[in-house]
Amino acid sequence: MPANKYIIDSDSKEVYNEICKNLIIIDCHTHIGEDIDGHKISSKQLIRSMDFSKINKSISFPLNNPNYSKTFSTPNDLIWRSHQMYPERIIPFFRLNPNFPAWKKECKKRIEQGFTGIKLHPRSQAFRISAPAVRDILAQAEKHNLIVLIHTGLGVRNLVDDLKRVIREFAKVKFILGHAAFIDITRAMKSVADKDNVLFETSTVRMFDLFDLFKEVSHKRVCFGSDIPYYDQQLSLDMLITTALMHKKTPSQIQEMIGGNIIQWLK
Amino acid sequence: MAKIDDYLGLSKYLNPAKIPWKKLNQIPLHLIPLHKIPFKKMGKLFEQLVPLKKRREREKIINYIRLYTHLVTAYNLMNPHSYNRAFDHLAIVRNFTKEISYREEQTYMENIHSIVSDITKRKARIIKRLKKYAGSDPAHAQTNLLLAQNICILRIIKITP
Repeated sequence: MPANKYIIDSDSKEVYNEICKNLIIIDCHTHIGEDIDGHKISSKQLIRSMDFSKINKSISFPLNNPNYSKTFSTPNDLIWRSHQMYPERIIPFFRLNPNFPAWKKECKKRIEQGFTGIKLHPRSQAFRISAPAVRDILAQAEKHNLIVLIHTGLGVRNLVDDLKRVIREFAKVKFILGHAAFIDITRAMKSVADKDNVLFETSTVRMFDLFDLFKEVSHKRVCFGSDIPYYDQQLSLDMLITTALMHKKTPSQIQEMIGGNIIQWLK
Repeated sequence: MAKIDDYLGLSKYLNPAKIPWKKLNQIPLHLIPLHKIPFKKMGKLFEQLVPLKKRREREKIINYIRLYTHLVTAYNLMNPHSYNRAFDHLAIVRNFTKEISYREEQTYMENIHSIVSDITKRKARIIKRLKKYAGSDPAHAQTNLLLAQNICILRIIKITP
């Protein structure tokens, strides 16, 4: 985690406190564990960061660790333990690698355990979103009413075409587009923003892309995410609220984006 | 065309050095015969036209734009062919964030400094990843750079009156 945290300036704080009053803020993109590149965060550190930024709940899933990336069983266990430790704060998602058939066993185990959703990372595990194994995973998600968060940030090829295909095919699956498909945001907004089963999650998105997102996409289709430990929760929240205010979004619309929309899905 | 008289009811031949300072800043700059103003009072006039607070804000914005430009360039150069230049730009950002001394911006400068230092520390790992998987986000360096860029943009938006 970065040593220095981003801090909202005092003027903005008052406005934010007003907007965030009596509201459940949910961060839809957080990690727990250790990454291959040295980034790491424990559940305790995550909770501390959430408290600092007044975030009530976080959707959490494992980081990319190649030692466990065949099944992600060990990191998924860590997520479950964290959820048991903080059941009111951490919403558990499990991570799968569609390249190995072992995902089936892992998926079954996690569904039985009571996980809320699945995280798929096409770049780290090197697969295409429209690959047959991914379709099988999405079929499982559809069957068990699981939310699917797909990484749609840096390093994904043929993103929008593949997304269009799977979102059309699995119309009942709720998709969270991690990083709001910012690598091809214009096409993504045109192609999938009108779908009720899609939320654009705002972590690591450039401010300019957020401007476009709020201009083109309904506030009902946006959710807040931070991607901690790579990113900063408070900065993400500040960016979303500042950009939304510049777009003259009302406090109730902002409230839906930072918590309301995802709460509807988690019910 | 408006003359100085229209603003103060004074003769245009009047020595501007004798115009009360409170009234002087109501007059458009092009109507004031600057060559007649004593050097001593020039600073005061300048201060009234562009107050220190505003000048500091402008300076801060320029500094953030400068940082942002280096960060964007480093982001774009973070590929197997030009990563050395990317790290050169990051070194500039590191030094620059150390030198800037606005107390109110210190937290944000430390923030950017810490992000960039963190990337620099992971240089060997980043280069290794870049050579192995071109086009990926090497050791999340690009994600971290986006974070630093967004801090600059947010500060510019908030400082701008």
